[in-house]
Amino acid sequence: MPFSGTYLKQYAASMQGRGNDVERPSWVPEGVDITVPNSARAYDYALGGYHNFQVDRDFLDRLVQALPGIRADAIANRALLHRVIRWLIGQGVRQFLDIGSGVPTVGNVHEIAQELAPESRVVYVDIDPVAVAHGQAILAGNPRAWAIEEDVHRPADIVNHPDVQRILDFSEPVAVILFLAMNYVTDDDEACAVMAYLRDSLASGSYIVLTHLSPFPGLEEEVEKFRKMFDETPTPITSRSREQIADLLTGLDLVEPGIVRIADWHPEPDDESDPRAGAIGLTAVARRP
Amino acid sequence: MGSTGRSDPAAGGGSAPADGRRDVQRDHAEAAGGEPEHQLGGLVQAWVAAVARTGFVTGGRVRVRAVLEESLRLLAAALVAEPFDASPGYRVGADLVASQLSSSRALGNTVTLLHRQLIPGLGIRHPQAPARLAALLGELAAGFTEAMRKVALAAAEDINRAERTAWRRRQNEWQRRLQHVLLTERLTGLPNRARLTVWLDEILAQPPSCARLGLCLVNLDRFKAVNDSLGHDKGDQLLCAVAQRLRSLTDQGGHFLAHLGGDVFAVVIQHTNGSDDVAKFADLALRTMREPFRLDGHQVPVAASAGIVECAAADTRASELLRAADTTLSWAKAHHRGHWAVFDPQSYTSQLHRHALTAALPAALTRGEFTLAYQPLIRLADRAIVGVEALARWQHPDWGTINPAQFIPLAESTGLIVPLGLHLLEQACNQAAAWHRGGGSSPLVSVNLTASQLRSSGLPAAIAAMLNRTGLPADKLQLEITENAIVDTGSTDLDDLARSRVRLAIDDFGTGYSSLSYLADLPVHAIKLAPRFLYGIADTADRHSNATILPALITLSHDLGLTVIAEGIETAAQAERLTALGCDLGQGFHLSHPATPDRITGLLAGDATDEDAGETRGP
Repeated sequence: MPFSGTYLKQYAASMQGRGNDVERPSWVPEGVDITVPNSARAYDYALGGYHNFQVDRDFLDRLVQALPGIRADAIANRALLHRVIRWLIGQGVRQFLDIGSGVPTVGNVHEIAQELAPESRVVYVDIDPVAVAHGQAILAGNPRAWAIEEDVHRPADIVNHPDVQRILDFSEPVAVILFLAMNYVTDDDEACAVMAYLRDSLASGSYIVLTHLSPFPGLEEEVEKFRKMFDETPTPITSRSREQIADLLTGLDLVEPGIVRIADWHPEPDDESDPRAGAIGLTAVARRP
Repeated sequence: MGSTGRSDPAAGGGSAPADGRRDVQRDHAEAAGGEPEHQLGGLVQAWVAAVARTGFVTGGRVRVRAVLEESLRLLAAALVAEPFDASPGYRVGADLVASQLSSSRALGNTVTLLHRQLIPGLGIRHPQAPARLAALLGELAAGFTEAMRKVALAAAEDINRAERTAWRRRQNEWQRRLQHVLLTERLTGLPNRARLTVWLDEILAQPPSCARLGLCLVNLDRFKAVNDSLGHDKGDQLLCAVAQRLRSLTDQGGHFLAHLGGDVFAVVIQHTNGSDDVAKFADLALRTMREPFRLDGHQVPVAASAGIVECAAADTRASELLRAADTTLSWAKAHHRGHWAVFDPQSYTSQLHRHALTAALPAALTRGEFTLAYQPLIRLADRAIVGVEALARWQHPDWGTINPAQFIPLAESTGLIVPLGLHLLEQACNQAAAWHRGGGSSPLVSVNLTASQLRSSGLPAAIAAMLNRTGLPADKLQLEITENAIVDTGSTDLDDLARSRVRLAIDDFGTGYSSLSYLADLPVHAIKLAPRFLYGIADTADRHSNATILPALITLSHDLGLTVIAEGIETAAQAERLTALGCDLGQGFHLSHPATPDRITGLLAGDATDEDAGETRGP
C-alpha cells in the first residue's frame, strides 16, 4: 500500500489478525474455541486444578500415555516456580512478569510473592482468553497484579502493553518468568529474538527464569512423541538441547547451578525428590548484568 | 474452610464442642500417656511421604508438614476424647483439600496409612480406639469428598464464567472492529461519511464547547480523467496520496478529516469565528493539491475545488451541514473550478426550491397542470396578428403560475422534457386547429423545442401524427429551435421535419456558437432575432453597433428568403425602427402581452387591443 501515514499504519496494525490465521479475513477475531485442547488448561488439570474442559483433560490423559511422568513433571515444574519466586524475593526482586502463566489457579506467583513481600507486583500473560479472563476475575481486588492476553511471539506487545506498563516499572529489576513458554516459539532465530527483546527491555539486576522441554538422555523418543501431540493444539511446541537453551540466554549471567534439571535447581533441603520428576526439561535462572 | 460435620449421624459420637489447640495438646498428652513428641513426628513424616507427591501444594513440604501435624493432633485427641466425637475426622478431610492435597491418591494413601499406623504409632491404648478410628476415617473421607465437591463446583463455575467473559470480550472486540470497518473508508482508512455524521452529531449536541464550526468539502477536479487514462489502480493511489497530504494538514491544525468516498474529502474545523477561518484552510488545501503527485514516475497534476459552510453549532444538524456543503461544492465546481466557494443561503434556498420543483414535475404532468399562454406575432407592416408563440405555464395549486425559464431546464435535466414537450405541442396544435376551423386567416402557432426534444427519436413521426390527429395544416405550425440545438442535432432530423412542411425558425438568432454559413444550408424558414439586437437601434449615435448590424441581418435574411421576427419589442421607438428596416414580424410587451386562448380568439375577431388584458405574468 503506497499510503504510509501514521493513521493507516495504526489502522493496519489494528486490523492484523493473530499470526497463523491465513484463511480468515484479518479483522475477524478468533473466538474462544473450547473444542481444541489448550495447553494452559491441560497444565491446570495436570496440577490437580478444575479450571479445564473435557477436551483438555482428554488431551492430558493422552499425554500421560505418551510420557507417564508428565503429571509429576508438571508438579515438579510448579514446585520449582515457588522455589524460584522465594529465591528472587530473597534477591530483592519485587516485580514479576509471568509469560505463559496458564490458568492462575494452583499456587499463583502473586500469592507467593505478595505473601513474602506484599509490595510485589505481578503481571500474568497468557494467550488463552479463558485463562486470562479467569485470572482477571481472581485479581479483580488486587491493585498490584493483573492478567493480560498476549502472545509470547510478540514480546514488544507484552512489554508495551498498557497494563504491563501501568503495573511494572522497567527501570527497576523485573523477573521475567518463562516456564515452559519458549517451547511455543518453535523457530530458533525467532526464539533468540524474543529473548533478546525481553533482555533489552530489562534493567540491570533483572532476571529471566526459564524452564524448557529438553530431550533427556534415554527419554528422547518419549519426549518427541509428547512434542508431536501438541501439533494438534493451537500452540505447537519444540524441545531444545542444553546448548540451544544456553543460546537463548545469551547476554545474561547464569545463576548457579546453571542450566540444570528442574528438580536440581536449589532443591529444598529435606526434599526426597522423585527420581523421575522434572526429567522432561531443563531450567535456568539468569541475571541481566 | 472446614465443615465440622458435627450433626452427621455417621459421626457416631456425642456432641462435644470442637476442640481448640490447648485441648488437643492436653488430650494428646493423655492419649499418648505422656509419650514424647517424636512419636508424632515420625508419623507426620510418614504421612508427608505418602501424600507429598500426589499433588502440588503451595508452600511445599513445609506447608504440608504443618497441615498434617495439626491434623494428626486433632485425630489423636479425638480417639481418646470423652464423649467421643467423630467430627474432627470430617475437618481433617476438609483441611486436606483446602491444602491442595486433593487428589484421589492423597485420600487413599491417607486412609491406608492412618488405619495402619495411627493407633500403634502413637501408642494409644484406649479400648474403643479401633472403632473410633474407623468412624474418624469415615468422617475424614466424607469431609474430603464434600470439600472436593465444593471446590470442583466452584471451579467449574469459575471456568464457565471465565469462558463466557472471554467470549463476550471476543464479541465486543469483533463488534468494535466491525464498527470500525463500517465507519471507515476502505481505500484510505479514513473515517467515512457515516463516521463523520455520527461524530458531527456528537459535536453539535454539545455546542457550548464549540460555538461555531466549519465544514470544508474538497473534491478533485477531473479525477475521472485520471481513472480513465491511468487506470483505477493509479486512481486509487492518487486518492491515497491526496488523503495523505490532507491528513498532514488536518493533523497540524487538529481538524477532523473524513473521506466521503470517491474523490470527495471532508474537513471539520472547530471553534471557528467565521467562514474566513475555513477559507484559510481551503486555500491551503487547494494550494497543497496543486503540487503535482508522483505516481510510479508519472507526474499527475491535480486541481481541486472546495465547498465551505461555516455556522453556529446550535440547532444545526450534521445532515443539513453536509447537504449545504455538498451544494456549495457543486456550485464551486460549476462556477469556480479549482477554487473554493462559501455557502450562500440564498442560492441554497433557490436550489432547494429547484429540487422541490423537480420532484413535483412528473405528478404535475399527469394532473395536467401545464398550460399554454399565447403571445401574438404581429406583422409590423399592418400590425395584424399573423401568429402566436405558445408559451408554457405551470399552474401549480400551491405555488401559483411558474414560468418556463424555471421549470423547462429542470424537465430537461430529468428527461421529462420529451413527454412534457409532446404534451404541450399537442395542446398547441389542438388550439391552432380550433382557430383554423374558425375560418379567416388563422394564426401560425410557434412552439419551442429544446435540444433534447429535437434529439429524441421519432420526433418527425410524432409531429406528423399529431398534425394528422388535430387536423392542423403543417404550415400553420412553426417550431422554434435555438442555434445550439441545431448544432447539436444532425441535419437529417431537421430535413425530415422540413419535408413535413412544418416551418422551422431559429430562436435567439445571433446568440449561439453558430456561424452565418449554415443559414443558407439549413431547411429553415425564419429567424428570431435575439432581443439584444434591439438595444440601441433607435439611437442615432453611430457607435451603437446594433444600428449597423440589424439592417444588415434583415437584408441578408431576406436575400436568403427567410422571414425575420423580432422579439422583445418593448418600446414604440423599437417597433417603428424595425418597421422602417423592413422586419417582418414583431413580438413583445409593446405589441401584446401573452394571453389566454380565449383572449387571442377575441383579438383575432378584431376586438380592440388592450395592452393590460394580457396574461398576468408569473412569478
